[in-house]
Amino acid sequence: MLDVSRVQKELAECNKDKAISGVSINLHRGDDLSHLEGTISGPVGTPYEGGTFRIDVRLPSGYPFEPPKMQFVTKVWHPNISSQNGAICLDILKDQWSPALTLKTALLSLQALLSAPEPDDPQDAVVAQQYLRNHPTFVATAQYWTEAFAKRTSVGIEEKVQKLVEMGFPEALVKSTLDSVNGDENMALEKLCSS
Amino acid sequence: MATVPKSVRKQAEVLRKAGNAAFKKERFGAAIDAYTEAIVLCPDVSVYWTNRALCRMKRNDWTGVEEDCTRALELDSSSVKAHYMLGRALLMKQDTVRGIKELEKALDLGRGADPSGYMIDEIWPVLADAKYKEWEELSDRRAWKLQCLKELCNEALIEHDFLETSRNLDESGNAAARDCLSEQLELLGRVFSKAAEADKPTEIPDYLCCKITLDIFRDPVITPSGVTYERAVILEHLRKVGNFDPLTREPLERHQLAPNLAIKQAVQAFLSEHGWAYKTN
Repeated sequence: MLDVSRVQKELAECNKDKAISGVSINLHRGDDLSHLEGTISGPVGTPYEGGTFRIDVRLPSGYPFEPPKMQFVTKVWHPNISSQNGAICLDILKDQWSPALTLKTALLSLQALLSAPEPDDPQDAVVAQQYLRNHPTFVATAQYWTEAFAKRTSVGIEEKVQKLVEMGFPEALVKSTLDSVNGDENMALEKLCSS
Repeated sequence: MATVPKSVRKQAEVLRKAGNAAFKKERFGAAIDAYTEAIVLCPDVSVYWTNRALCRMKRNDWTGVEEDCTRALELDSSSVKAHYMLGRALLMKQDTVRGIKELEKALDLGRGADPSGYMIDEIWPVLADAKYKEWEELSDRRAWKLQCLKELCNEALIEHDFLETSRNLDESGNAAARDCLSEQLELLGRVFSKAAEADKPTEIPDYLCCKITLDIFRDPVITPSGVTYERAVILEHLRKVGNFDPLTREPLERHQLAPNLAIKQAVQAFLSEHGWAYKTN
């Protein structure tokens, strides 16, 4: 059984100092405590600076005796994160998990991973090769991806919502659709028209 | 007690086992019958009484629970189950003070029990809930009394000042008296808010909370690394995750765990001052 009381405490605790820590965690939707969404801000002085990265967090019923399942929702160019599906290679999310760790410490570890990639233990071989052999290109690509996928300013999203609402789609639906395609206006429109 | 022949004792044990089997199938009526027969044969065995009490609890027969547990405790005053169920029965009939006492006794006796009979996780929520309600009531009353007293003191000060200034015709003296009054009123306000502090819910200090449950300790145990955990969850960790200290990752075996009596006492002291900390989700 999922330790509900602990998860609730973790949520409150993590969000208390999110402005300082740069990580936050919220319910994905509704009141399902086993499906959460975390965000981490890209560390300063890295190609991820300025970006906000969304992480899909699923808690197995054995949590906190089993690690949380985490995956990047926001596309990111990093040796230890799959550029295809956001899968993460990080020991504490696997065999090095300990129940004394929390969602907050796990997210902080992901933030640290963005600062210090470990190309010798890669998740994405292509990115890792580039990181090792052609570092300037790696930095440029990572920066470009951050720019393209992790910088959704709230102003931008509001404009997109307004535009689609003006086309005659209901606002709630527009928001959830935009959310599901990571803020891509064209993909959202396609989805809205086909639904 | 020696008057009960061995063969009868054996027969009573058979009945107890039959009762246990019926209980597992949730056939509580049949279980009660079996335990009752066992009690008739051997009324001096505490477990027969507690087993029947458990069936009666399942059927919401709280008077029966109280009777059975009282008898069980006469035979074995250290029965955790009997104290626990008696506590619940007493709470049911609004006898909060005695109910809490029984539950506290159960908690105290139940710490460190072997995993098969470990009941702390069952006892704690019931006790915490009762204590929290008790605190709510008492703190309301305390707050009300303080508020009344504060108002009276305020009025008295103002009245005193009024009498002083009306006797005093010197204007500069009056200004000084007014300064004095506002200072006194402010000080009084501070004294009263200080007095109300213990009843104001804030946060439980981290050192009184387990790093795994993130909740206040009930049965704290310390590892050789010096880290304290809630007994039930560190055992679960050792069973499910591995033989290491979750925080330091040093090797850890269950026999190395020792009760942390100092933290247990610190928790008790904190809870007796800050009843709001009993709040459960």
